[in-house]
Amino acid sequence: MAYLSLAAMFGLAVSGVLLAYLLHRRTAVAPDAVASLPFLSGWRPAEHALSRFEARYYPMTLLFLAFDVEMLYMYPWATVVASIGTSAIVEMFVLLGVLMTGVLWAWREGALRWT
Amino acid sequence: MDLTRLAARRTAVLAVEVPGWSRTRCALEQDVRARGWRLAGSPADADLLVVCGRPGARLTAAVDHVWSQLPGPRARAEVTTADDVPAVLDGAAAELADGAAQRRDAAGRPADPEPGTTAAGDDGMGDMDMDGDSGHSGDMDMDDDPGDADGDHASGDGDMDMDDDSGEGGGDDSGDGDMDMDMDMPMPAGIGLAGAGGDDQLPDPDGLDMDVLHVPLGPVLPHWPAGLLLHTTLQGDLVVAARAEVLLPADDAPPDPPVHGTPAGRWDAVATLLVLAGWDDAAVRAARVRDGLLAGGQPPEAERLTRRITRSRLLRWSLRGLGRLPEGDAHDRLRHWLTGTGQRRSTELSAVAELVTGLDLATARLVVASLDLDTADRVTVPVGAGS
Repeated sequence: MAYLSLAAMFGLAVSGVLLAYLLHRRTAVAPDAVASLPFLSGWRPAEHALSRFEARYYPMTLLFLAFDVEMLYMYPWATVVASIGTSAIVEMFVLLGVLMTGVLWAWREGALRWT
Repeated sequence: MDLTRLAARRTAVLAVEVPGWSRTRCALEQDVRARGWRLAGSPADADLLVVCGRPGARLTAAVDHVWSQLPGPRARAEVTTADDVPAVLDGAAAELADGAAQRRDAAGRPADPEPGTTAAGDDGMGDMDMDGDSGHSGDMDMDDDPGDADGDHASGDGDMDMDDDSGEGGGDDSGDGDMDMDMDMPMPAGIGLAGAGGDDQLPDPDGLDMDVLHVPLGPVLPHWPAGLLLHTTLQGDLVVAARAEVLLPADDAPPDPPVHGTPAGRWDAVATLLVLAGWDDAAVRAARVRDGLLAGGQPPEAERLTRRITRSRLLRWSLRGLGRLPEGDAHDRLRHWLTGTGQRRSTELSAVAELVTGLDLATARLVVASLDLDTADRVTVPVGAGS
């Protein structure tokens, strides 16, 4: 019974989205968006807008995430490691090893080289 | 569907001024404000494209490209005298509210974006021959050496031809150039990516060379001198090199007297500078003073507005030290406009380019606005070979 109200809410949300979409298709002069290049005072761009997004940040971000996930697991682990003992230490260092493999691979791929 | 009729009551107008038709543009702005419409900042924001004057070939090409970027419902008009403005806007409003015609227009639009031409007039490769010598003073020929800066780009795949008129420019990226290894530059939508290098690259002490971008400013740009085309080379948002030229009108016979050099023209310059400095309220008031002067009156609020603008500390901080010329900086020039004590003097295009070099984009726009360039009043000066 609890799920009935949930389903009703879900149905309402989906129908609302569908209704807005259909309204747009009916009222727009053309249902599909106009394809156009970026506005550059009336000229064609000499370089693609993709250039503004420096791709070198993204491998760095992934590296950060690798270390970040380590930290995430180590907080709860640190509270119980004394009571569990050796097995917990071994397991954690296996996890660190797995993540470090990724870091080493990224290093080899040049994620830490800027140019 | 009366939605179009409802939307047409708040039409956004993108105004393009041709050198010499400043009077028409002022009349257009006044009429737009009187109708409760608004001025658009970009084609995506606009419903109506109004060209003030008769543009020459290159200016027409730029306007046509912007026209292809307006989303429907859209309308386009050309107005050549200040007196024609109300009738032209009435016609455009009717066109916008005509649902059937707008649907036909939208149905007939191509699926691929218009390729357009690059501002440098090159082959769309964005090659690095934009030498920063700003020694052109208004002459129109481009020194466009086809030799690329970094070897040859002929990677031998057939669907990557760089002709602008080949209809390339999006959609089909079938078998694009990322697959072959000798192509050092992928070309999404037929437009190359920026890279470091070239003549304008500033050396970086850390060895982190930034990408070099070539961004044209003008001629279709609100709050920008009519017909001015400033080729800028950017790193980040800093202008590291610039070159200016003026795109000419079709014929040198604008019917209305220019507003430049009159009190109304000075208030027009004040309004432009204030908009770019971010003080919209005072800018609209300055535009009202300008319109009152153009109508032949003596607007009483000019005195108070002058005091208010000169009192503003924030504006003084924003403009102090920008665009230093022998007779003062941007804020001094603003004060001269307000008090009417300024001297008319000619500015060389190369001097404009030198003034904006080394500034960031927003500052560069403020500096250009503070010069109050009259692009309709041109004198060609011979340029020495070494300048």
